[in-house]
Amino acid sequence: MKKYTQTRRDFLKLVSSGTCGAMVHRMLAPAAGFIALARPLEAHAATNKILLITNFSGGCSYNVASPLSGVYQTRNPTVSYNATTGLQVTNDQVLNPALVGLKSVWDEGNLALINLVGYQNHNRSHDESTTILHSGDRSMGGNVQGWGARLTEQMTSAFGGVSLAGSNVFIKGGVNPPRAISDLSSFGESPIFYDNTDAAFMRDIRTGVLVDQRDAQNEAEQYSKDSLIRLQGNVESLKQIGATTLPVTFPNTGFGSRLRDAARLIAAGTTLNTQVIYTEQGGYDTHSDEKTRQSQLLTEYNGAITAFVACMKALGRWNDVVICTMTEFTRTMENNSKGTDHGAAGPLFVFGGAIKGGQRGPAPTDSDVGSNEYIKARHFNFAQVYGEVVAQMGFDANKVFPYGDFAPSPYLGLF
Amino acid sequence: MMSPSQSFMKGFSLILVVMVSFSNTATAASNGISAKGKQVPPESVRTVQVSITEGNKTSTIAIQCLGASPGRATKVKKSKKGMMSWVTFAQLARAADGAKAKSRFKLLQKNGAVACAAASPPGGESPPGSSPNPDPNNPSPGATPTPPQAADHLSLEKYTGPFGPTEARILYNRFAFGGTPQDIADAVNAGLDATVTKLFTVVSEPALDARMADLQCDSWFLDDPEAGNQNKTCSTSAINDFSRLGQRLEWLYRMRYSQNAVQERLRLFFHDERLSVAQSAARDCEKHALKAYMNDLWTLATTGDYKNYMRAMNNSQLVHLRWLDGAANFGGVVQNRPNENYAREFWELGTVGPTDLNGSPVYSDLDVAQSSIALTGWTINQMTIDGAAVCLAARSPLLHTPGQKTIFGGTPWQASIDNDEDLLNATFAHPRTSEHLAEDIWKQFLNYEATPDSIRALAASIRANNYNLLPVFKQVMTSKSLFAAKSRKALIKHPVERVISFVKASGFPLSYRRIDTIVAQLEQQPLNPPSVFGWDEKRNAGDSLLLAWRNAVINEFINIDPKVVKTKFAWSYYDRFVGDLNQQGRTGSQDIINRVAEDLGLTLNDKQRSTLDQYMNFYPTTNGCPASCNGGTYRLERDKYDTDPQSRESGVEWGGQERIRGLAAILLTSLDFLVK
Repeated sequence: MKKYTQTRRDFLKLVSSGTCGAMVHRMLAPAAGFIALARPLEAHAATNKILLITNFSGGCSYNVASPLSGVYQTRNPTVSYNATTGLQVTNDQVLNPALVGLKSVWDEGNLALINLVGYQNHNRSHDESTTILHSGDRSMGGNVQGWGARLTEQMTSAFGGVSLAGSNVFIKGGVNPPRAISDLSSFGESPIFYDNTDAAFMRDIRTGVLVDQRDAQNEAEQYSKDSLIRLQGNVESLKQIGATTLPVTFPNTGFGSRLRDAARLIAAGTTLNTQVIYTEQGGYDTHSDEKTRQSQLLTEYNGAITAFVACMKALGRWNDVVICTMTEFTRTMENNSKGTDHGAAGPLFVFGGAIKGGQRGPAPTDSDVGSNEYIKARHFNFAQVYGEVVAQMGFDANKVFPYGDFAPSPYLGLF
Repeated sequence: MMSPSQSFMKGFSLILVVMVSFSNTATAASNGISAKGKQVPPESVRTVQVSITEGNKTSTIAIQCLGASPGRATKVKKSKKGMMSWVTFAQLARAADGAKAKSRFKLLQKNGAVACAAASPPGGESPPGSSPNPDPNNPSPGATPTPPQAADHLSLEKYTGPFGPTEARILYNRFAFGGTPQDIADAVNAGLDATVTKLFTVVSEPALDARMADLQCDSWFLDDPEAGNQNKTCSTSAINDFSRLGQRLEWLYRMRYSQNAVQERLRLFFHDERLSVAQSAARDCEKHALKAYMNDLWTLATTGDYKNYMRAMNNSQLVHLRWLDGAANFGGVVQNRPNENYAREFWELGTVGPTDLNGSPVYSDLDVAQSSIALTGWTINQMTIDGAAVCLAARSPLLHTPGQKTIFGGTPWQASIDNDEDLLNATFAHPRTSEHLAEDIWKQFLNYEATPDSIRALAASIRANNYNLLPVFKQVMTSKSLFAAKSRKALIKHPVERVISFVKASGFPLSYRRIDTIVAQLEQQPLNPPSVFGWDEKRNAGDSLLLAWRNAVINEFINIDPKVVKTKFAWSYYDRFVGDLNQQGRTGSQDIINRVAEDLGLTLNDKQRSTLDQYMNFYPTTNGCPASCNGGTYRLERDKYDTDPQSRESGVEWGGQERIRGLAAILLTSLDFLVK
């Protein structure tokens, strides 16, 4: 089983890649005493740009930025917004009224509203479309690699990429995948028995048992072993980051906590060199009562993102941060239950201090909507948007999006 | 070796003894034949001779098979226009032996299914209304039959090797949330076949049921002193009078304590993999729908009838109408755009899956739209019963859009359907339904190495058993694949399995309420999945959730006050893992390490044992650091275990049992424990 063979030396390399420069992880080898595993991280990033992805999981409807044109309005009598009820940003489009924070960024000229972003033959399954968005790959095979993982392959920092939404396809695969973390504040092992010395002893024993485990024989063992290795390497480093005091108080909500942790990772600066952070906010699968549910979700989103923008400005990192939204598909015209079903291409926001704001591509018109159940038109491939950000970060966008269906150009002139 | 069909037949008192021959019978009929008025391709009609023995009497009856269908008729008659009609089994049964018509009918129906499946080419039947030139072989062009000599880990052939503690643990870890030491010992004594038979024999547990009714009512046991005044009396006639938390606690408790462990594991499997649902979808007036869902899972786990389960899902107020928005899927007089949510997931998760074994789509968006129209016709009515609001689902013909809808258009399984039952029949006529089931069963119970051929082989067994999954699971549980070297430790344990298997193996007195909190921390709370897709075991074994597991182990299992636990529950780590060894004079740390590892089902190598031995016999100190600490933050001093088994760390009774608890903590978070 060569595929799963991992030598002790490989293991030590992996563990050491999860440590911070200032820290020394020791492992207790029964006969040989302690082994020092320190490997300082190299400051290597081509630029200091940071990509933060906020995924509206479940498929966010177009009413995040309602078109004002006739058919869209008449086919969505309950769920859409108009010039009176929305936050008008262009002649043909309004932002959802919950997004007052984004409206401020728009007014500052740093919010790009990109219409009809998707991909050819848009898949309407949650799972499959998310996989495509996360991977930039239509193959859907078991070994599909996330484009986040392809991006962090170009980084040497073990924390070049971090998912604050657990594991997913975006961070899957490659030699240096983004790390999955649920919550920085709970990171760190609870004290065991007497004191930290005992805990350190336990940690080293654990590591020793793991090091001496036989080579992984199959996918399950390899996956679990990799997870344990990352866990060992991450705990000590990240529990320090989780204690960082920020200049701005974040709302005490699920998404607020995630963006607070994102801000802490960014505040850690070259300690971690984190350059891509993935977050999610679930619940956008609004098959019924969309207006109420979407409004609640976007209110939470707005609160968190407003604090995040203020925090980045206070930290002096606003010009370095690029926030991109993502969602697996937009949604159909209104159904009978005041909700919407699975659709295809939709709007996408990109914002940050360095972003040239404004609308890219017109809002969907009557000809796009027509009598169809959902908007089938598409202005842009999602890889064009994310690819431009990746290129601006100084990385090779063609390596991040190598597959033909998802060419990362031409760019939209976001910077 | 017993074939799947033989295994299936073994359960019947009237035995099918011969399947003489089969041949195509519809010779002309270029415009097809009809079954109950629907077109079927003539080339899919086959004659099978079935001999049955009843007492001393044997008779041979010819039946007609429609593809691999259960043999719904005995012969076909040509109409004036060359169309065909069927003589039903019921008619044949009455004609052959009126006195035993009912039993003969069932026999013909069931054994006919086996005979038809055996006579049918692989890939399943063609449904009524299918296109005139189907490819009967399978939905994945390029497929080849199962190779005669599949590698052991891909083979469903009967396992004939040794069945010792290792094999017994594999069986229990995969299918029963682990086993107690007694379970493992009993299994080894009984052997594989007897153990599997025992595991599938549903045990009546009236005492447990009564206790569970109490727990389900208000989420507290009546005799729990911590309940305070939170115990209440629930009305048996008020269908919504129970606690959602109580429902979850009940299920978790059954997973731990019920003798029907396999059935509970199967319920979790179907809940996870097949249209997973959150209990919160049921409003207060329709909590009864949650109980109905649990009953549907139980019926499936005990009867194995998967088609009937999906029929139940089509009728489910919780899954179909609420969770997946069927209550808003109006048609008929309310001509409006239907809600497609359930229609899509019915296929993607419940039956055929989105793609076939070649990665090609199984259905189109148009198919989804058509099936959603076929599913219209439901409403939920709110009423007041005994002063309480009750919401009940009801069929409403006025809300159904009648007429024929085409699904699986342009494929060999194209069908014309009107309603949900037609959708069900057409979907179960599609062989992808069995393949998708096979994929889920293989990856959840055998290994992650399935090949298209192995999936086809398991799918064929599912079809041969008419979607009765009990004989299929028995086949899997006694297969070479399950016990093959390449299948060992080849699956990731679900968090629920980690918790319950530890509690079972150790007897640790985990609170019946605390367990729900723990599985919530591990993000696998039953009846509260993250989405309709259920749980992703890889996500649950990602480093962030493994940290949650490590914290749970420490906080819930390790950082306990041994004296309190001993007093309250008559349990201690010392008693469980050490006591009898000390009585035997086996006081060395290696004895303890081996004992704990073995009881948790772990295999340690010499290096690991040596590392753990250091843990047992040394303690860390910062005295003299950094000068004497070799660059580290602590150094080790010889202590304890082997030199002083009565020490505090060694843990005789109240000593603290630190090292034993620490050993358990390390092993529970080791790689070997995370896989099964």
